[in-house]
Amino acid sequence: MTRVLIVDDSATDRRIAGGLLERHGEFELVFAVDGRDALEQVELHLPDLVLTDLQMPEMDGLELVQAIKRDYPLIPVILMTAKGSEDVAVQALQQGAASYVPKRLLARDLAEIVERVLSAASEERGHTRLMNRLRRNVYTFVLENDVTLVHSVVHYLQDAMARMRLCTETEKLRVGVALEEAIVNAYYHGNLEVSSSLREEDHQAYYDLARRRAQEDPYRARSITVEAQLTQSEGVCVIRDEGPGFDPSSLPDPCDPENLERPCGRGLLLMRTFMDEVRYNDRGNEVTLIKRKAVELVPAERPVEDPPHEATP
Amino acid sequence: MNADRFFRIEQEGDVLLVGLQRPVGSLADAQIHDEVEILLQKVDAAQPAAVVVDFRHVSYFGSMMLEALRVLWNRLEAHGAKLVLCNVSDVGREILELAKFDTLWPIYPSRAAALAAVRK
Repeated sequence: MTRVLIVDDSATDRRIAGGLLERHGEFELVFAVDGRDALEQVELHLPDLVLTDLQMPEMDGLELVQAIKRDYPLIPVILMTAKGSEDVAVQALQQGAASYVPKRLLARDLAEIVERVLSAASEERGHTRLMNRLRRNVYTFVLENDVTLVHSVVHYLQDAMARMRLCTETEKLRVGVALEEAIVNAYYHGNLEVSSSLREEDHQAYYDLARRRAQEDPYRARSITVEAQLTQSEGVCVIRDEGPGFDPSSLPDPCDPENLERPCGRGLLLMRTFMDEVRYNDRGNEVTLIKRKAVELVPAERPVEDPPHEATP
Repeated sequence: MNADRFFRIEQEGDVLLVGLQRPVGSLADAQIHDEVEILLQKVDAAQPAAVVVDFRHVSYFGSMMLEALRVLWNRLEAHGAKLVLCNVSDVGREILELAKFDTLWPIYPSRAAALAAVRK
């Protein structure tokens, strides 16, 4: 039976939400009076879904969403919003809440939204279980010299690495920074051959030259190849441009106080800091970035067996 | 053209508030160059005593953002104005520290704290 945890400091609202769910299906209901109580209930009676108010004493709905997304990423959370809580609701959705239903529309919309979110969560769980069994994934992208695709390919690889559980949420951001720096270097410094020293002299001239070359031969015909091989132990990404290459050792140390105001070398510094290994080929037009899995991450699958519990509406 | 895709600029007294609206990863969008220029023009026109850059909506950024901040700082220094940052994520702080820019620009936990500091 589907277990739903209803969290609200108002006993009346808890009863209304619970009654509406019972009317529409076979639900096992658990109740909590605020976020702190909810986390205890989640610990005791792992729910399939959490339905929560936003404004509560002790721990509010936003904090609850953050805690659940951190510790129980596969449990979907639906918000019950009231007038005046719109801003917090937007924040909670950004933090990972699955959906929301205005309290004044509970009778009309709650059952349908719960149904929809449970269905999506079931698919997500299945997908996560499948991904846990994936052993190797290989990708090759050939990007025409179009900078607008950079963000998309980085996002794709970030998600792929996270799905393979190669990185935590924070590491995912770091990996994204490193990959983006590498691809953007391939675009500007590799294929378009615009140098950081021009940016040092006149940053507008640097961008103007880049725009012009993006329309001119031979630069515009060049492409960037992004190859990634992800296994359960590491992600290896190779980024190659079609420019003449460069000598990475020629870059100044951006951490040297002398160079603090120079616009060179920071991208490579970020790559080297956020990946476990970064190396260039001899020509200097291909960089290999390696991210190794460090520690066991948050369990992707929670235990199935739960202790018995008592509902306290 | 949407002029505030990356930067939302507001003026509060003699302080310019610059809210970042989305990750400015690297040079992933040519529009950012134009927006940096607009920001510099506003600095020149408003001659603020300080600029507060608010990273609340941005979980990370790359060398492009660092470069934009450096260019902004150079312009502010010419006017004798201050640059401070607020609501920087953990990864964002790490990036600023790596580039040693945390030694140049104070970082505050909130917009209110940043405003209070520049108005002291």
